[in-house]
Formats: sequence, C-alpha cells, structure tokens
Amino acid sequence: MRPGGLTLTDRALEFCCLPHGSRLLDAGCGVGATVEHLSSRHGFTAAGVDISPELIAEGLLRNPALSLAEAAVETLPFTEESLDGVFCECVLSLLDQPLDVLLEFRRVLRSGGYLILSDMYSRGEYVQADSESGLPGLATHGQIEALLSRSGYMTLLWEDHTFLLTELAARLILAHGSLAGPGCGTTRPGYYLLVARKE
Amino acid sequence: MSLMEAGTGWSCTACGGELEIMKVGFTYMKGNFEVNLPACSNCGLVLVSEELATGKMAEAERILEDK
Amino acid sequence: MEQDKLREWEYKCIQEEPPECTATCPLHVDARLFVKEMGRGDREAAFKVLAKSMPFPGILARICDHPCERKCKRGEVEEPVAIALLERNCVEQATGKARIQLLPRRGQKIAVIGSGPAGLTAAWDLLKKGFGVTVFEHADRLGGSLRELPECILPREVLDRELAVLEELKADIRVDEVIDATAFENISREYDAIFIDRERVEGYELPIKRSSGGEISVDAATGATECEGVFAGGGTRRHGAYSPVNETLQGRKGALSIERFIQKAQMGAGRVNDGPFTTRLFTNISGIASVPRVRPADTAIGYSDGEALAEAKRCIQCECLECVKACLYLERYEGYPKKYARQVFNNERVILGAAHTKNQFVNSCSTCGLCEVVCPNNFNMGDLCLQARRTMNGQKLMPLSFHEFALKDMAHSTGGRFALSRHEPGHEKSEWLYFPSCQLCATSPGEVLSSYRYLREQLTGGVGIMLGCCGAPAFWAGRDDLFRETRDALRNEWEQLGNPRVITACSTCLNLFREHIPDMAPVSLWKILEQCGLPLKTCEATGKTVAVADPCITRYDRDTQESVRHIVHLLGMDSEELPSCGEKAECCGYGGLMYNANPKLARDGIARRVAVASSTDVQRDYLVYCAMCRDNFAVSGARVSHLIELLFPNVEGGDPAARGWISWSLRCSNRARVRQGILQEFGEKEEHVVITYENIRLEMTPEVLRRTDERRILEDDIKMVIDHVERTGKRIRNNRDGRYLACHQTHNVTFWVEYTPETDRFTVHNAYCHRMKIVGVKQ
Repeated sequence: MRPGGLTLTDRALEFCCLPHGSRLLDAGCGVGATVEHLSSRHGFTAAGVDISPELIAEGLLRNPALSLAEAAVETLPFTEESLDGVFCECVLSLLDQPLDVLLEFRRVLRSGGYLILSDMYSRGEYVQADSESGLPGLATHGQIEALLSRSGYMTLLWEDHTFLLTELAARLILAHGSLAGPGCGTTRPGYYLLVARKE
Repeated sequence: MSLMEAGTGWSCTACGGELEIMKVGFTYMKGNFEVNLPACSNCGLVLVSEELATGKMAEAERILEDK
Repeated sequence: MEQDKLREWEYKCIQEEPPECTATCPLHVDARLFVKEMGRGDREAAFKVLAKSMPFPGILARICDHPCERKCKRGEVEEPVAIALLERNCVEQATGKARIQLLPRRGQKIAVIGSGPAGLTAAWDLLKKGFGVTVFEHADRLGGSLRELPECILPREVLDRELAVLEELKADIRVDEVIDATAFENISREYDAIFIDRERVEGYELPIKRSSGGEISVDAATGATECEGVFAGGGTRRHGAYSPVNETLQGRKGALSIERFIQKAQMGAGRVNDGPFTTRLFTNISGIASVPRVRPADTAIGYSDGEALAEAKRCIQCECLECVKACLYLERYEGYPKKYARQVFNNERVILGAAHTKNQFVNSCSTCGLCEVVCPNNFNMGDLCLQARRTMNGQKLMPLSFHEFALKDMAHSTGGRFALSRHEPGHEKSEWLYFPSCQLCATSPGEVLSSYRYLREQLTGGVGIMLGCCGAPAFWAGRDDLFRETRDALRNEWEQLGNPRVITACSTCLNLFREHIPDMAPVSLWKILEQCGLPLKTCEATGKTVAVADPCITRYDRDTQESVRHIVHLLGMDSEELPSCGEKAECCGYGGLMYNANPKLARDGIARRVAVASSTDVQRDYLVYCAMCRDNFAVSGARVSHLIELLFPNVEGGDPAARGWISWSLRCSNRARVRQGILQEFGEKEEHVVITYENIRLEMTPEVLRRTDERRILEDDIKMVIDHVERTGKRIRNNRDGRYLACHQTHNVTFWVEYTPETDRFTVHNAYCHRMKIVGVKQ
C-alpha cells in the first residue's frame, strides 16, 4: 500500500515526458502494480525487481507477461547505461546505505536518464533510526538533495505530497484500527516526490 | 449491535436479496478509501455498522481533519 | 500571522526566560539544572552543567562568591538554596573532568599578561576558541590572588591540577617574567592582541592610560583600553570588593572582545546580556511551605551527601507556567504559550499538498481569557486561537466537523422556528427590548416567558421582544463572514424597532453587543431586576447557601457579578465564593465551541471543577446565570440552578437543581415553544408549514435518548432518515430480529438508524453517524 497508489507515478511521467517505448525499471516493485501500469497504460518497456521471491512469484502469477525478477536494488541485473528511467518508491528510507543504491541506479541509467523517487521524509529535524523499535530514520529535504548531488544527479523537481501520507494513515486505520506510529510533537513525517536526472 | 458473519443475516428490503461482502468506496477530505462491507449488489445499499462508524471510521476522520 | 507578529506573541511568554540564579550569575551558569541534578544524586551530570559555563570549574565552584544566592527565589520564602555549598560538594566528588572542545587552530596569538582569575579565564576562553595563547606572570607560579586563598577553601593541589589544563591546551606559560615598557612594546608587535589582568600589573610601567586611582582605564562593556588591540579586566580587589566570579567575567569579556577585534566583527553586538541582568521570568512562590536551609553538621567539610541531597531538593525549580496551572487545555497539550504561538504559526504555513497539524489544538481553546488574567504579561491564548481560526477559514482550510453542529444549532436560532421581533402588544414603539438569548430559551422556556411578562409590568414605554442569536458561535468559529451577517441582521431589526435600550438575559450577548453594536447600550436583566425589585413569587430558598459560579464571559464585568450576588442575597440566600470566581471565572466548556471541537476536553474540564467544590465538607448547590453553564454542570452530575429558575419558578415548590441534563432536541423544541408562547400571548396566529417528517412519532428508551444526544444526533435527524427510507424503501433488514437499519446522507453527515415500525410510531433502537461519504459499491 503506497501513499497515493499510482498518482505520483503518473505525476512524474507527466513531468518527464518520456518517449514511447522508453525502458523503465521499478526498483522494489513488489507484485508489479507499477510495472503493469507503465507497460499497459503508457506503452513503455517496463521491468521490475524486488528482493522478495514471494512477491515476484505472486506478481507473475497474476500477470505472466510482466518482466519481474528477484534481485537486490544494490545489484541490478542490467548492463551499464541501459535504462531511460528508474522508479523507486518507499525503498530508500528503509536503507542503511542509500548512497550505494543511488550509485547503482546511476550505473544502469543512460546519461540524462531520469531517477524518480517517492518516499517519506522529515519535515522537521532529522530523525534517527530507532533500532529498538525497528523504525527507520527520516532524512530532511536538504539531506536528500545533498545525497543526490553527491551521487551525481541533478534534481529537477521536488514536491511535497504529505496529504497522501495522511490518506494512507487513514486507510491503515480503516483496515487495521489504531496506529502506533511515530509520535507527533517534534517529528513531522512528510512524503515527497523527486525527479532527478543523471549528470 | 454486532456484525454477523460474512453477509449472512442481512437482507435488502427493496429486492429481497441477501447482502454480501463487497468492496465499498468512501471519500472524505479529498481522500479515497475502500472497505469490505455487506452490500446489496442489485440496489447498491451498503451496511456500515455502529462499530465501524464510531470506531475506525471516526478515528480515520479525525486523522484526516487534524493530521 | 506574520513573522514579526509571531515574535510579539513569543516575547510575551516568559516561560523560557532564565531563572534568577542564572540571570544574576555573571557567567550564566544553569544553576537550576545543576541543583536539579544534585537533587537526583547525579554528581557527574551536575558537574557537566557547571563545566559548560565555568572556566576551571574545580576552582570556581569552590571559591565563587555566589551572587546567585542573593537573588534565589527560595530566599523570599525563607532562605536561598545553598548553591555554593552544593557546588563544593559536587566538585569535591565528581570525577568528570571538564571536557574541552577546541576549535581548530586559527593561527593568531594572544598575549595574556597576569594570571589572576581574570587573566586565567581570558586564557581559557581564548584557547578554547582556537587561538594561540601565551601567559606572562611575574610570580614563579600561575594563580595570582588564588594562591592567597586558604587551603581549606582552595587546596593547592586542586589549584595546580586545574591550572595544568592550560598546558594540555598547549598554552605557552612564561612565569618569572616582569613586563616593562620595552617588553610590552615587543609583545605588542609579536602578538595579535593583548589581555591585561589588572590584578597583576600594579607597579608595571605600561604605556597605557590609567585612571586617577592608578588602574588601567577600560571601557566597561568591552574591556577595551585606549590602545588598539589591548584589553584589560579584573583587579576589582583594590576596591575592597573581591568577587572571584566577577573577576572571571572580566576575563571572559576580554576574550570575547579580542575575538571580535581579530575577526573585525561588531564589538558591541548582542552583548546586552553579558554579565548579570534581571530576568523577566516570573515564578509564583505563594503556597510554598517553609523549609529551613540545611546546615552542614561539619562546616569545615561542607555538606555530607545526605545533606546535599536534602538541600538540593529545596530548590523550587523556578519556572512560570501560571497559565498552564490554571487551564486544563494548556496543560493537556504539554506546552506553554510561547511554544504554542510557534505551532500556530507553523500550522498556518501552506505547503503544496501538505496536511495541516494542530487543527484541533487551535479549535480547543475556550477563548475564556483566564490565561490573560494569570499571566504576568497578559498573554491571551484565546486571541491567538481566534486569529488562527479566522485565517484557516479565510484560506478555506477549516475542517467543517469542528464547528458544524454548533453552527447548525445557531442556524436553528436564527431561523424561522425561533427568530422573532415585536413591539409590546398595544405599543407602537419600544423604549426597551428584551433579548433573552437562544440558549436561555432552550434551557428555560417557561421562565423566559414569565420574565418577559414581568418586564412588561415593571417598565414603561413598551418592552419589545427579540428572539435570535447574537452570533457568538460564528464569532468563536472564526467565521467572520457569518458573524457579521448575523450581527448586521440583528442591528437592522433593532433599528426597525426604533433603537430601544436592550436588556440581555445572557452575559455573552451582553458582551458581544457592547463590543459590536454599542449603540444598543445593553444592560443585563439582573441589573434591571435589582432596580425594579424582585418578583413576588420567587422560590423558597431562605437560609440556603449556594456556590455562585460566574460564567467566564463576566470576567471583567464585576458590575453584573455584583448584581447577581445582590439578588442572591435578596432571595434570602448566602453566596459562597468559589476559587474560580470573579476575575478568575472558568469556562464550562461551551465557550469557544470547545464542546464541539473537543468534547472530551470539555467534559474533563467540568469534571475537574465539580470535583473541587466537593472538597469542602458540604456539597453546595451551584448557582449560575448562564444557560450553558447550567447545562454543562448538570450533565456532569452536579446540582445546579439558573438564577432565572429561582426568580420565576415554573413549578411551585419545585427543585430546579435536580432537573439534570436536557437533550439538544429538547433545546430546539423549547426555543420553538418560546416563540409560540409569545405569539399566543400577543394573540397572533401563525400558519405553521408542516414538513412531512415532523409528524413521525419516535419512541426511545432513556438510554437510547442519551446515547444519540451525546452523538449530537437530533430527533429531527432520526425522523428525516425514517421518512426518507419509508418512502424510498431503501433499507436493510436484520433477518434474526426483524429490525430495520437504514441511512440517509445530508450535506456532510450520514445518519444511520436502527428501528422497528409500530402501528402509529417508530421504536428507535439505536442511531449513529459518520462523515465519510459512501461513494458506492465497487465492481
């Protein structure tokens, strides 16, 4: 359940104006909903990788025509400069070493290729990961842009879509009841969409 | 009033059919939501229980108003 | 809210201002935190606090002349906290060393001439800032006057150990060096700046201007001498007032000035609070029990650990929080006004697509103004919140649910079922106009009609009547548009009646009219009754004592409060003053629409107040003169009468205080009853347009009635659902017990009713509602 479902994917596509047939990757694709959307609705050549063999299997069961593979985002099964765009939703915030992954994305992207990220961030101060409760840390807007700059990308678009997070929170409550989420007060979780280009 | 097992126990008086669990869409404060609820596929009648309305739904509404 | 307005708000709240001890301390040591840690028995943590502000904490903590104690608030209770003795106890045992974070080396070199406390402090600070420092001292060891202190105060071993830190910091120490004029010239050329410890340069031949007393002249604020790059301080001992901490301050000032000099930065900027200043913090010490200072059993040793712990616990831990102590709402949100102002400011910032936080916070304030009364600076949270509500409405970002029910209720009061304005029958003019208020009519319809009759008997020139709402709910909701509309409509009606003098039975109306339609020259019903005399058949209450609960809106209306008490006495009763009366009146939960936006807070607030009254031996009946106070006290289970019930009793020998709660539905029908009653008395007939669902009869057990009322579901809402459903046939049947369940969606709310049709009525088993709109079944 990603905040906004495919809303942000479409928003990013609208911004990038990728030509028909572009080769796109969804890194952390789960059961392949985004891959399916990109292939069927937009006519792109899309593939997805996920670390979970169960999710990949489920995705292929539902739609055997999808190009899904089990792989870690740190070691993508693609050659250098072979992709026009990489989508990565709700993955980076869970990683210890996001820089490594960004560099790997860079490897497979052609020069001028797009990187589309959407994830949680902190609208307040940087929030440390809490190993005890298993809650990941939350980087600030500034930290995220700095990270991209360091890994060789130029940010073209940053949009806050925190409302989608609220909507997601409401959906989770409807489905499961009360959330024991991160406290309010100083932490102000937000949700962003970022489009960057490989330099 | 508690909800019975999946769909059994409730009927639609308009068409006489039994309610079955179906996906029902809701909207509030620009958000869109889905809950599986007893509903009549013929007439579109939906059953929101007291438990849901005063429990999870109320909480979700508050989050949307104040989060 | 703009930035500068935010600053204004923040400035008013003094909670974050330093306590007296810290403000008076020349070095601004956080003595409050230090004593707190000592009170927890954590000497290491306590030491860290000292080390944060003190140079050579092992020395200063033993010898400081503690000006902090002179200003300690505990001293106003009985005796100041023995901060100095606690410091001694701390440094004698704490093993932690001062951890010094050095800034990277800057390359400049500073000469410090003289190693008394001032010079040593200058050296310490400058080394920490990353400068190279050379200390020149004419004696064979560093320390100056420190060496002359008794061993029991400052053991030599401690002194030497502390001073050794200078070498760790890579200071260049030159002892046995007397500085004459030539040496000084050389130093001036070789070093980037100089600090002179005046305590150590008596008799030095230095080419620097001295005062008539022989002391090097310095600028008091910066320590600058007339020579560029040469600063001086210390040596106050000459005047017979030796203050180690003041000497230290002088060194610190000098170091800061040197840093600024070298950086070519503004010398004087931001130095207003260098050295001691008077804090704006207010701490309430009333009610603090007197506990004498702990005296050390052995004065030579100082405090034992047990004695230190006991003394540290005497510390008041100064802070303000006066408003938080007085208000459940401010306490609940775990902050204080300065923080809240910033939160409101942040809440207003519109970020594309971002959700807003703190909406409920802004809508939960009753706007009663109690905070303003207890705050030393008159911070008014109500003003802050009302402003925020207006902004939210202006930006169309106010979620409707916070105020919808209250505005719906107001719409009923301004609508055809209630609103009315007439001259007195047989009069074509009105000298007076009675405005009994929408809520009092809802609470006490019979008494309102009686009171109007009485006014017509007592006053000449014609007493007109106007039923309506003054607009308070719109005002509180931050709906300026709706408020102005309501107010303008009222004003028009009033003008149509010939601008009569308005008599209000409700203090909120009184207040609003005074503020927004002052030409009405409104006067309270109680004042009029005081002047005319009370009606003959009042209730039998002689000898009874009641606890008068002033509504929060009368906070600054002593006049009305006095009138009420006078009437209470005329009725033969005694009035007991509650802690929250007069200027300190509290809100019952209705004000600011708290009951709508945050019903739990409102309930908890009234529960807390009722609990207070019962702490006395005798549980008194409450006497109120606001309809909503009556209702809210009644719901919480207290015995309460509205003054009008005692003056115009409905039932002879009745007990209004036992009446209990009434439902919102009954409130609506009571209002209609008042209108009908007046029309009837005036001999007017009215064609009442019957809406289909009104004829539906409902039957509900008291429990169901109560539950639906708590959910703010009116009987009309239930009737609408049943009516709609019975006509369209869209309902669901429970196969097991045959009960029907159906819903009907109005603008923003979907109501559900569980019911069974009977021959001539409907039995309602349950009703509930939600705001999420059903879109439909997904295929």
